Amino acid sequence: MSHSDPFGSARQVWEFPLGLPAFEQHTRFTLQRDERFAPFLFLASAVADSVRFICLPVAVVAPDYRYRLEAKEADLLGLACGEHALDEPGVVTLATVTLPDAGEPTTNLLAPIILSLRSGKGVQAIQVGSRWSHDEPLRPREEPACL
Amino acid sequence: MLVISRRAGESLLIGDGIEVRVLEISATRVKLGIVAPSEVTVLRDEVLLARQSNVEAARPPMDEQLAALAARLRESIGGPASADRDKNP
Repeated sequence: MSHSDPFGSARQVWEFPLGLPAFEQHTRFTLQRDERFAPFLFLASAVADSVRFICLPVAVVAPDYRYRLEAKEADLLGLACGEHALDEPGVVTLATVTLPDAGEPTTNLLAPIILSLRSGKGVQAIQVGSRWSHDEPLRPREEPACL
Repeated sequence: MLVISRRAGESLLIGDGIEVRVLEISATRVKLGIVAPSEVTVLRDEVLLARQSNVEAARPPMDEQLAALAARLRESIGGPASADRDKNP
């Protein structure tokens, strides 16, 4: 299944063949927008309503971000194995966001979520030896972001 | 932290049933072999962090808290119009 627009329809389902770490049984997700909360997006499990992740396009927080896809992940997505930048056509790169009851919100740049529009599939690609962590502080930036 | 030096081919033991053997050493990586009982979970630390981070992130936040943070982010990245730019990545 090919997805020309990742937000085209609430019924448009993204296949996550590997699930997400700690949520391996959740292999189907929808990507939802709500203008009240833009630029945040919601990656919601199609398996259980209670599982929903707040996400941000990685470019909002780290425009120079680069990530690696291992062979298994690349094969699943139909993309090249190795390093990727954020400006790759047909690929959406998201970071999950954690909002603790107390303390600063953080984004997980250790394990970005990669969506391939062409294949309609996604993976959470855990990075090895990355300079980014799973709890990067989410601070609004001074300069404009290029999405 | 206990620090032990080992060469390729050498092992160390943890408790009664866990052996960690250095299989190969290259410029940037060490390949380890681990023998452990089936009830012992062995995870790369980044996998554990990703699992913990996902469990935290899956908690539903307060709408008010999220809306306030979203407004601050929109302001910092150039106003409401920027929210539409990621429609066609």
